[in-house]
Amino acid sequence: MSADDRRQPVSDEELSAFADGQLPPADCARVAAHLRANPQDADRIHSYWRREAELHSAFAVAADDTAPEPVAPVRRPAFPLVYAAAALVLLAVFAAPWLLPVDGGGAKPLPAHGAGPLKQQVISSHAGLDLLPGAELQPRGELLPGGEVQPGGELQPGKELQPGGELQPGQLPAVAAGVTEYRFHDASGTVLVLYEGAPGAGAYPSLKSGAARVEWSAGQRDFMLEGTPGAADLMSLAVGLQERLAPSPAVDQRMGDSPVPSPALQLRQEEVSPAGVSKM
Amino acid sequence: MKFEQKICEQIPHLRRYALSLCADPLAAEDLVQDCLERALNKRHLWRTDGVIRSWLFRMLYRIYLNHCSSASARREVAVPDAGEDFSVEAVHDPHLQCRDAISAISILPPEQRAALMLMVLESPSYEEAARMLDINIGTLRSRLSRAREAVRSHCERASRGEGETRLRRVK
Repeated sequence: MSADDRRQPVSDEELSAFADGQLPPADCARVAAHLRANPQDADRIHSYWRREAELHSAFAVAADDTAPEPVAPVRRPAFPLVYAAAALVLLAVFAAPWLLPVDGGGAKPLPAHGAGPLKQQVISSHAGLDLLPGAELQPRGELLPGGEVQPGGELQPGKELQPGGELQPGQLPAVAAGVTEYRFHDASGTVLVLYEGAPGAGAYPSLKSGAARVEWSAGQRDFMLEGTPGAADLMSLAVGLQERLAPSPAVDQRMGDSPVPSPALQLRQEEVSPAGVSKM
Repeated sequence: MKFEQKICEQIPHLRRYALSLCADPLAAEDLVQDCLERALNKRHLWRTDGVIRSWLFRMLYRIYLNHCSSASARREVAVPDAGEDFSVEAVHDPHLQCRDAISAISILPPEQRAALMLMVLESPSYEEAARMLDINIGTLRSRLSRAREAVRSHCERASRGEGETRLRRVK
């Protein structure tokens, strides 16, 4: 670089680009020479860096404070325990029909493999329900003798079923026919509700006014997830659930039925949604 | 890695950037949700050889500009107390130190603010940042320079206690 080059004026834009480390090497050397001769401009760049470091830390903290839960932390589980539990329970419930032999008969309970204890543990810890001996996972995802959960049933914390006992119809909130409700909640007050029903089964009840919702369709079933977490986290959870609930191609082939639509997210239908409702 | 997983990985970054643009946490959450919803609907437009971060941030920035323009068209103030959410108790010294900078970016035009906060939070190359904001590199450099000078002068005035307007004798 010649002396004439060094004497070229340095613009504010070049100083800003120098602060970002985005100048070409030749210009970078020229600006560095300028800064040696003009310490007030060097102070300016230092001031940029100081303010931007403050902004960076402020918004990193603010984003952490406003986020209900970090979605993808570096060294922590991707979801809080209640999310993981909900995903595992739903996976066990919805995978049951595909895991059964075709000629197995719809009413035959699943043998107590790993899913039984897992489901028992999850329900016990999150619904306050002690699953008693004799409860087995039915192909259609219902818990029978020992603790029956009917479509539309809500498991209340602390509600304990006795052997052979059944929840009385009056204890269950009404949900539209053909719609199954799965509800999860933990001690911190996080509530998640998943509705599953046939297309056009009707309007789903709302958890609370203004709660975020995500709706999607998969395998000729409609799903609606609602909960108290933030909308972004709810959608993230819905994406994970949708992936886990999608039947594998091998299972489809074994079932011998018509192929299930692609697990890729898809719009259920084009319609105007109310505020706060997202569709995938 | 699947498309949905890639999107989920970007959610914290999108949330942080949206918060820096909107100042209001609820508005930021809505902005991220709109962005994710549009991304899932427009997934067929994403090129698999492209960088999903650029694609998502460009989408979020466009939605943000749309919100800004629609709010100004309605003559509404989307965030009447912009920046107030960041006021914290006096015991938090680091927050107090950056309060001037936060109030400074709240008075920047949306385009300058978006360019500056993108560089501050994500540190992309100028080429990638220009792609995210859908502008050329020269425009990006100009916006960054003006934004930085505005923040610096605002903070210096604030540190000298010149926040309020004063009469100046001109003759």
